[in-house]
Amino acid sequence: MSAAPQVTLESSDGEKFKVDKEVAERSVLIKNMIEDVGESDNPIPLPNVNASVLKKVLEYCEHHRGDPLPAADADPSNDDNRKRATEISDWDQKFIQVDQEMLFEIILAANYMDIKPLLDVGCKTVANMIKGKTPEEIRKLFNIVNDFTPEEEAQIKKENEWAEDR
Amino acid sequence: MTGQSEYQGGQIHHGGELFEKAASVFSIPELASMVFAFADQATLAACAVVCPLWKEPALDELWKHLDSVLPLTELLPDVGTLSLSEEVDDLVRLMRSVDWTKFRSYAQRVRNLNVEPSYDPYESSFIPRGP
Repeated sequence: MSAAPQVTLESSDGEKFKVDKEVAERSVLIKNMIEDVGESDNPIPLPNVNASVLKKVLEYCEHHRGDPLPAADADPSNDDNRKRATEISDWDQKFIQVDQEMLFEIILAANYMDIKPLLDVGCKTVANMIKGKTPEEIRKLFNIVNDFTPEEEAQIKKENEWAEDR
Repeated sequence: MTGQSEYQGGQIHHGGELFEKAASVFSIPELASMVFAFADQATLAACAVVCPLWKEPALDELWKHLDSVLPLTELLPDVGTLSLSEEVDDLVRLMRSVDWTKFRSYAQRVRNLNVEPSYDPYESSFIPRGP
């Protein structure tokens, strides 16, 4: 019995990562690519992911290599299941303790590479960062410029006042 | 350690870079919706006024599940009440079609409406009491 099959991934900045196929296939994008073109020794290019982010993403895939794969097509009604499960496992929590830039890079990479559970961890983390904050605190946190006129802002606030004190 | 530094306000360069990343996540409607799916109501109400880009996905998520019709009915102007048993004098004016514009803009976001009757429905004169 030979060693586990491996594939090579290439980051946007040209770094190559040789990983077990099972690990790489946590990414639905890569899984489909391998299925489409068959196994080959050519590196799989990931032009939207740089080496430092890819390294981090692969760390996640390695840790979760044995997990059952999520259902292929997410039922929209699964939204509610997702919402309920806002907790993050201890390992994931530690994994996602990165600076904000890396956090957003991971989310973009997980979206591009189609790694749903990692995308969820990233989105939950951002949701936790903004939880309970005022609009001004959120703008400051992400350096967002408020393009609303004071009238527009007051109008939206008024129409959604019912949600504020819960 | 770029991400931490923008809190200090001094590192404009890094802050700008981060803004780009955060903005690119929130400019993809699917990703913004995913983040908002994990947020509570009060946070969603705050997110809706952060900037125009956040408004639509935040409001969609906030209004998706309502536990009462009140948020909707409060969008309608107070035109007084018209009841079958009382005089029409209570009516200030009739509803105009423009009155429904705002109502519709929010109502179309609602996917699930839970209504718990807080009164005995049979007391309403519109529902005949059974024998």
